[in-house]
Amino acid sequence: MTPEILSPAFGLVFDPYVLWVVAGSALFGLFVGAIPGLSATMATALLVPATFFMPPIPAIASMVTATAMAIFAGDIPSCLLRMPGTPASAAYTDEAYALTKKGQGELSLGAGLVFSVIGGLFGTFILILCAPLLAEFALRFSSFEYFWLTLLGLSCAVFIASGDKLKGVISLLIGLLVATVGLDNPAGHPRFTFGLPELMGGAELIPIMVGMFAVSEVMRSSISVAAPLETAQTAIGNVFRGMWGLLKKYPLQTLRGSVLGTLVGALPGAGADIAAWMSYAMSKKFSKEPEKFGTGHIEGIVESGAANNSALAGAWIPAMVFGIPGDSITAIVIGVLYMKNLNPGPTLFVNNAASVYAVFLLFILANLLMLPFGWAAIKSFKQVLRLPRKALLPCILVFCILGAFAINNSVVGIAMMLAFGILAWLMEENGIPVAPAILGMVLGTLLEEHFITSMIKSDGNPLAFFDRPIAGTLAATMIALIVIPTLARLLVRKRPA
Amino acid sequence: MKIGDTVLGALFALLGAIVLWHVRTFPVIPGQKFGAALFPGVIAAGLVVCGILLSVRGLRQADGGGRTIAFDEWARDPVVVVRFLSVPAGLLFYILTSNFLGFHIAASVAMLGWLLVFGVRLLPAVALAICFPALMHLAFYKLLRVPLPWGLLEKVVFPS
Repeated sequence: MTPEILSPAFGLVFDPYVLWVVAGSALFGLFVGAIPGLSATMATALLVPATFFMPPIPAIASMVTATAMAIFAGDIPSCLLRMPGTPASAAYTDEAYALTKKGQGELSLGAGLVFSVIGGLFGTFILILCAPLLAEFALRFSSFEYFWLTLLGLSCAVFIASGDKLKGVISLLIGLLVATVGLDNPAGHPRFTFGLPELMGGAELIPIMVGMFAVSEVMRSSISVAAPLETAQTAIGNVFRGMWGLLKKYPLQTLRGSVLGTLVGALPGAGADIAAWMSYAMSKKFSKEPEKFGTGHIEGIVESGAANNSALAGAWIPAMVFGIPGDSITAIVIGVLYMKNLNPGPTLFVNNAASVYAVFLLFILANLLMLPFGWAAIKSFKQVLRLPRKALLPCILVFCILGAFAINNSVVGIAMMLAFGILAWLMEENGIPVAPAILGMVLGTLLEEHFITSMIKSDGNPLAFFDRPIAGTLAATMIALIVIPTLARLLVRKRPA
Repeated sequence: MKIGDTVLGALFALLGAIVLWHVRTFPVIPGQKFGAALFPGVIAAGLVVCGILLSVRGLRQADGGGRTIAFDEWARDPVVVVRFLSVPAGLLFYILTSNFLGFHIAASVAMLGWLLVFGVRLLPAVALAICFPALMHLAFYKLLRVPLPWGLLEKVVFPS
């Protein structure tokens, strides 16, 4: 990290326009995150139309800030209403609410805030450390390596991130099928365009994501729109009291949560919510007092609160270096990066180093700003609750319409949004995870492109996929990822017999 | 709405089969092994296989739940059902009418519908349904220069 790169990066970030965008997106993220039923991914999807007409850095700034704030803000209704504001807080909602019931709401909210900041900063630190190193390595990649890497990312989403593997595969296949729409294929043949010129260029991802993450969530929320929200604790004292004590008491837990969160975030398809579930389970397993978990014990909140925020930064590692999204938020971000001519990949680090470092700075800034903004959000949560959701949902829908329309100025975008909104709702209702489908849509075109390029290069010899050392290693990893769990399951099944 | 695994699997297998049948019509590139049909073909074959596996798994379910389509508790309350259906219905209304009615009228009507169905009282609902699309018009049409359709209002705004 040299001064020649850092000073233009500072210049890009500490520009009054960017700082205004950061402040505005912070408020927006806190608001969306704090309202149960509206997730951080939805915040990102709703921000997309607003970023259309911004220069690249403010556009990225708005997404980084809004998501970081939304993931923390999800903890507030968890503590006070026993309703997770975002899925990433669901893992420890019962724990946080139990603490509030014991009259320790301040402790629970404070831990959510402070350890979110610590986790977020840790994830950012790993991002700054790893991404440039990986990018340097990735400069040596050819289409063979990218083919395996993309395939590895897709299988990760199915075999690690989803509970029901068969349904995960189906979800992935649906995503890949959507990615084949359009002219962009070896023969230049219009595939599955139904005669619509809007589909010639492929299925536009932004309306699809707005549909899958915003419309489907509004559909879910519309069922419970009339239910009043009551907080369990009305007056909130000093949330920062006792935080230093917690940090001294649970240093290992904080570190473990942050490391696990960053790792899970970096795995394609698994994001902040899975990171929180895994680290809460881990915290309970290694705790000296596991019997206290579930009764209002702060330890699990410390660990998984750090994990879900570190996952956000972790997800950016594969997204920036390889163009493979680490979670559904970065899947949307990658779409925006392409629109802004900041195509993700190792060359971004060479040709546009200042922008890359600006992203790093934005992460640090967003996480530090979380302390004052988060404190203010906790204080004003009661006012946020006064906004009736029955009036809010129609506004969100009109906003979705505009976002889906603005990308191509065509009503087809809105129709796509509606269709995929219904599809995503049906999928979630029936236990089919949405994340693999999103990953398939983002990576499907790349997978086909790398495969065909490689095949043309090698004159149709499939063995060429294993020839180069890095490609061979990736192939072996890929095969191990599928074979080892299957073997392990077979062995386990045989033993009792 | 919980669709049993057998039915769900059959639907996916059917989708895969339709795609497989359709990609046979894709042209082949002379002298090349890999054409436009390869990837969709592989994906569709995968869907057929996974769909059948899911169907079989549903059939093996002891309680027979794999074969049914069940509705949730909320589906018994007509008010909630109308609320739920109003979301896709309103969007569909906008999609079908926005080019003719224009953004302002179509969005206001859709929004008024949603607000009333969700239980907002008439007067605030009308106010919000008029003001919010107008605000969005300012943000998107004026500020971001998105060409929102004027529709019926075109003759009013641009008389000539």
